[in-house]
Amino acid sequence: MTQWFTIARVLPQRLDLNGSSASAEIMAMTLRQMGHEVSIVDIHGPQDAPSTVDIVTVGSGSSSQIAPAATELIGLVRLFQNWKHSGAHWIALGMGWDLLGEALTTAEGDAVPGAGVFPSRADHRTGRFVGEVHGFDYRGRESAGYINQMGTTEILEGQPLVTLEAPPEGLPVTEGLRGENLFATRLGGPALALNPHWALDIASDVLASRGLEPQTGEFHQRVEAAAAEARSRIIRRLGARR
Amino acid sequence: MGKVPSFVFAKLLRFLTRLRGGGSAFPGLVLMRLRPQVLRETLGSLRLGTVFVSGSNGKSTTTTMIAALLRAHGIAVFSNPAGGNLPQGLASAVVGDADLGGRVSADIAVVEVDEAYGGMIADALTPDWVVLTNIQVDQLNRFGEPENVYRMLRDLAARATTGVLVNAGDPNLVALGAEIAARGSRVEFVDLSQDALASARHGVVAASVHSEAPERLQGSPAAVLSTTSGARATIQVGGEDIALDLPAPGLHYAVDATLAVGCVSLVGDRGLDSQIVAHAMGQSVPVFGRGETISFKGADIALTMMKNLPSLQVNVDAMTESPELVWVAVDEGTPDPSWIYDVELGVVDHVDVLTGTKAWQWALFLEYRGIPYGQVIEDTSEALAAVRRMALDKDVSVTAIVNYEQMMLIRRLAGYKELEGVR
Repeated sequence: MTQWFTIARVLPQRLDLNGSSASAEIMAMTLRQMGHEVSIVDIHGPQDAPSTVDIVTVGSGSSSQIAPAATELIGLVRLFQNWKHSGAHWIALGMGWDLLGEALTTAEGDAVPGAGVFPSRADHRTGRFVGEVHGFDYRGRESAGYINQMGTTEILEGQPLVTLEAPPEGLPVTEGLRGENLFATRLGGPALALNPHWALDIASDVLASRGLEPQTGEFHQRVEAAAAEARSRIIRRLGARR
Repeated sequence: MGKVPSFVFAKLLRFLTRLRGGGSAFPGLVLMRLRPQVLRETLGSLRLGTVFVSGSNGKSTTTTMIAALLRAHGIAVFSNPAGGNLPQGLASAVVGDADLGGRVSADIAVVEVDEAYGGMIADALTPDWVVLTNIQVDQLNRFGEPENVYRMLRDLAARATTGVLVNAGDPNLVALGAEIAARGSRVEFVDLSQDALASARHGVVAASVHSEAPERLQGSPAAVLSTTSGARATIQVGGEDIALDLPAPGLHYAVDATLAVGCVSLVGDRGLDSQIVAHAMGQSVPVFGRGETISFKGADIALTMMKNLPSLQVNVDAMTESPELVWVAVDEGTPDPSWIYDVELGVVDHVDVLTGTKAWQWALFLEYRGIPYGQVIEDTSEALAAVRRMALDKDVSVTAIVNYEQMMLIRRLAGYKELEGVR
């Protein structure tokens, strides 16, 4: 039975660096290919916001966007609380995750309050890590991607998304956050595309909240096959470098 | 080592590397080891000085255009070949052009400079002018974020002893210009009309380095891009409109041409003859792989560069019809292709062949965009043979959307032996 779903994409004009706002597009396609209708609503301020949404996505940004984005998020905190209490599912990448956590310390040492959606704290003073990574996720599935982010993030609740295999020096062995209705990662823009098992997990949770089962088909098989090929190239490259 | 023996040795190396085919930046690297001051010795006292051209995109095309316009006005120009924008590439160009005494016969040096190496090259050769094309989202694996590129270009611009010319169509460069003008630098600019900006769906695709739009720069523009459509542009300079042909269609080529015209009006000493400008620009051809069409055993292959998000976006925006046969080739030269999710593919409604080690990442992107694709042939040589067969069977040309490294490989496989960045 076709259902309508709404995805809210938060501050896409500021938090969309390097494909990181693609989570909304990927979740929309994942659900549409199960026969559902999906609309994506860009949230620039409280005036744009529907009262309820099913999925909230936020992408990453560059350092000059921290202050303006944090300022704009202040006006959205009450809305976020309402969405959280009504059971919305949250997907945050990179700096968007940092800004939706409890707090962020910038590379210059300034403390920026977070929106309080994610139980995490970010610290950008430890510099930037750039490169491909590979590991196993919270269900032991092979996962991979590309990180290009400042600093580190401390998880206060929930479990890591991925345990990395042989991470480079300076990069923590665990990455990302998976909690109740919460998904966050420092992997780059197409993290959900390269790891469609995560998109399916989130879609399954969203559908389950309406008492529905995911109906996967040819599209989902095709993207998993293509993603497996893409991940295997990353793993091959990492293997060649070690 | 003395000057003459150093140049003899470097030229011998150049001869030997060319014997094995193509060229190399190695002779330049060796020359810089032998004579660390070689760039200053050879280029540091040219009559009209030195112009550095830098920015995220359009460096090669703008450099080539400036050099062509100056030469058309009778000015002898030293320039590095497209892509040879690192110190060793510049030194290799010196090896090619200098005599055995290390003398370069030129009135002016117009050199393309890599953003990250600008400071290092400025240490070796002080620029009189710095021309900045744009600041776009580019090579994030290398630069982290565009803010770092802004800082590098600002620091490079501050090294110019005479002045800086910026593209005021890019708000980042307006901010940069205002910042260095406040410190006492002379800042000139070219402007783009609203009509010109509106000619491309995504405008100049500038990075979002500043949260607030900067104010306009003080003074009058050195040149204004009044209109552009396809491969035609009208540039206003000195109260005169110059209508000219561009080497390929697109707002980005028109902006490069406007910068070139503005630059020549500032640095040349022979005035600016509109007929000469129009004629010289009409003779210009696409720079190595940028909008170039190559031929491979009867099949035409139009190379469309996707060096980064802006370059792909502006090239796709410049397409007016859906290409019939599309080949996407991307490899390790693009370490993180995440940015493809930010591209609007416009008239590109299908892809026939995907190639290179990042082909499967492109396949995923196309799946999520709902754009059909045909075969994944990771090996470039096999893919080239396959797209040639398709092109001949359908009697169409190939639109190849390629990253820089695949462009070089495809050209070589197609029999185009000269290398970029070396002379």
